[in-house]
Amino acid sequence: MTTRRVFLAGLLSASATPRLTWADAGSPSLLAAAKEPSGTFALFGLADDGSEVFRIPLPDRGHAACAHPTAPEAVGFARRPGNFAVVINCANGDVVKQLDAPAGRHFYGHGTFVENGAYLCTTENDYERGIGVIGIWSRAHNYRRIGEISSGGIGPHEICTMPDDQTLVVANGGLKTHPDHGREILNLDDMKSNISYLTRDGKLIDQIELHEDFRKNSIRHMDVHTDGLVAFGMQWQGDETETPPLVGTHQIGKDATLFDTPFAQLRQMKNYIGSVAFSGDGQHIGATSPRGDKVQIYDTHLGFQNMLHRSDACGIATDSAGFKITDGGGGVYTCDGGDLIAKKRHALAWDNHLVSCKRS
Amino acid sequence: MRKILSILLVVASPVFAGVDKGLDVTLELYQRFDDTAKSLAQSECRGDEIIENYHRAYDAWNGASIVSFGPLEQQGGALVLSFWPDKKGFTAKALSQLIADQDEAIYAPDEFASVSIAAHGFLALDMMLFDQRFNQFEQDSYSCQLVRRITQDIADKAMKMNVAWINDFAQTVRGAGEPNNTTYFTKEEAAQAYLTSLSGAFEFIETSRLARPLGTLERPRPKRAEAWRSARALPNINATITALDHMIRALGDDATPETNETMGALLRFIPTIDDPAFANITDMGTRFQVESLQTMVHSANEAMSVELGTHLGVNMGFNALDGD
Repeated sequence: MTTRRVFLAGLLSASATPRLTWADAGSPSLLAAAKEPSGTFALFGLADDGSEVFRIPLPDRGHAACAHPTAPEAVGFARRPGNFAVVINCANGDVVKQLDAPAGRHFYGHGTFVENGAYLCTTENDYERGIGVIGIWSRAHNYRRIGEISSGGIGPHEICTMPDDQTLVVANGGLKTHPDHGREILNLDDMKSNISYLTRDGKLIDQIELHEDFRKNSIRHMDVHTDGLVAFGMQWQGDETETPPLVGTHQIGKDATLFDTPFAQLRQMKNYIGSVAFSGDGQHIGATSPRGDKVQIYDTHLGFQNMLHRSDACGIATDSAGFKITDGGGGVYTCDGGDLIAKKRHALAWDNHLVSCKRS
Repeated sequence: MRKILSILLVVASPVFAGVDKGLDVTLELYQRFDDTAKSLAQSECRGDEIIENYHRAYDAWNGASIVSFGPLEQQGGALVLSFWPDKKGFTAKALSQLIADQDEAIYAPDEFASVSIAAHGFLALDMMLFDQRFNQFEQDSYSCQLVRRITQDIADKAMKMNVAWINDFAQTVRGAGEPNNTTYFTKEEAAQAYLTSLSGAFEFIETSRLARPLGTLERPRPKRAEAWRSARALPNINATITALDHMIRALGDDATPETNETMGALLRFIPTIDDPAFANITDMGTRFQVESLQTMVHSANEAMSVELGTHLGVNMGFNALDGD
C-alpha cells in the first residue's frame, strides 16, 4: 500500500533537491541545540569525538532536533510552547524552510521522519480543544503541511519512528496546557499519560496506559531499538514525597515493564527523567536526571545497574560504545555503562536533547 | 602578558578558595550533626534529656541539610531524615501501624530500613514525643523501643554521612577538576553544586516551610507547619538560615554584600516572631510577620544567586532549571 506512495515521494524529492548526503555536512554523529555565551542559540552538529562540525543559528531557544535519514537536513524545534521549527540544510547552513504551527496549534519540541524521510511528523497541541495532534509535513512538497492526525492522547511530547520506518510511537504526557497560561498544568487531577502507536494516516495500532497508581506519571521521552523495544522515561506530577518508577520498556502487544530502582538512588532522580536512549547494542538504557545531576543505567533484562554523577546532564544518545551524554556546562561525554569519559568541553550550555544522526 | 596572567589568577582564584572554605564549613556542619545525633541516641526514651537533645540534633540537622549533595544524597536525600511535607499523614499511619502490630522490625536496624521512611527521622520523633496520641508511653514499652530505634537510626545516618564526608567526599570536592575526578570535571562544577544546594534550601523555606502554613488569606493552615507539635516551625528556619549565612560567607569571601545584609536582617527579624509553631498564623499581625519573613527569604535567595554565582563564576543548572 505504501510502496507506491514512497516511490513517488522519493522521485519527487530526488528531482526537487540536489542529492546532498550527510557527508556534505561533515558527517556529524550528533545534533544538539545550545545556548551560547552571548545569550544566542544555535543548533550544532558534533563529531564522534565531541568536536563541532557545524553551527547554525536558531531564532530562539531550541529543545530537540531530528535528522533526516539520508539528506543532510535537520529540523530544530523551539522549546515548548514553541511556534517555530526550522528545517536546516546542514551542508551549507541554509534554512530550507521555517515551519509555522497552524492557527490553534503549537509545537511540543519533538518530531521524527518516516518512510525514508518522505514525511516529517511533529507533536503539537490543539490547545482550544485540549487534545494532542501529530502534524504531517511532506518533504517532497518543500515541507508543506499535508494534514494532521490525533496523537492518541493529551500533551504528546517525544515521537519516534518504529523500525518498520512507518509506524509512529508517541509519548502522550497527559498534561493539558494552554499558551495563555504558559506551562501551567490545567488537568492535574484527572491527567492520564499513554504510549500510542499510530500509522501516518491516523490508525491506532496499540496503546498502553500505566496502572492507576502511576496515573500522574507523565511519559515524556522515549527511544526505540532496532528490535522494536521502546524505552521510556517519566516525570512524576504527583506528591513529591512519593517515589514511583521512572523508567520502563514496552513492546507492541505486550504489557509495559517498569524498572525498580533502589530507594536511595530513586530519590536522587528527583522524580524527573530528562531524556532516555538505548546503548548501541540495545542491552542497556540510559536515562538522565538533570534535576538530580544524575545518569542512570538500566539493563533491559536485569533492570537497574548503575548511577553516575554528572552536573546538569540531560542530553543522551545512542553511541557505538554505549551512550553519548551532554550537560549544561558544555561537556560531551561517552559512557560504556561505567564512568563517564569526557570527550570535549565547549563554552556552551547544551540544551535538553542530544540526537544521534548516524544513519546514512 | 603579566597583566593577562594576573587577571586570569584573579578570575580563577575565588572559586578555589571559596569551595575550600565552603568545604570546611560543610565538615563542621556534619560533625555537629553526628555529635548531637549521638547524644540523642544515648538519651532515655522519655523525659527532659531527650527533649533537649532532640532540639539540639534537629538544629544541627537543619544546618547539615543545606549541603544536600554527596553523602546526604547517597542516603536518599533529606526525606530520609525529615519526612515532610507529609500531605497524606503517612507518619501517623506508619507509627500507628508499627505500634498496633508491635512490629519486631524495630529491633533490627536492617529490618527497620525496610519500614516506611515516614516512620524514620525527626518528624517521626516530633510525633512520638510531642503528640498526645503517641507520647503517653511507659519506660520499656514498645513505643519506648520505637523511639530508641528512631533516634539510633538518625545517629547511624548522621555518622555514616560524617564519615563519608571525612574519608571520601571531601577529597572529591577538594580535588574537583583534577584528572580522574569524574564527579566534578571542573572546580566550577563543585561550586555549582554548592550554589544549587543552598538555593534549594532557601526555596524549601519559602515554598514549603512558609507557604504551606500561610495557605491563603481566607484559609491559613497552621497545622501544615513543619514540626508544629514540637514548636519547631520557626526554629528549623532559624537553624537553616544561620547555617546558610555561615556558608555563604565562607564561599563568598566578602563579595556578597547585599546577600550578607539581607541575611543579617533575617537573623535579627526571626527572633521577633513570637510564634515558633506558627499556631497563631490565623492572627493578622503574626501572618504579616510570617509573610515578611517569606519575602526576605526570597530576596536573600535572589541576592545570593546573583552575587555568589558571579563571584564563583557559575550559574544554576541550565537543564535542571528548565526541562520539559
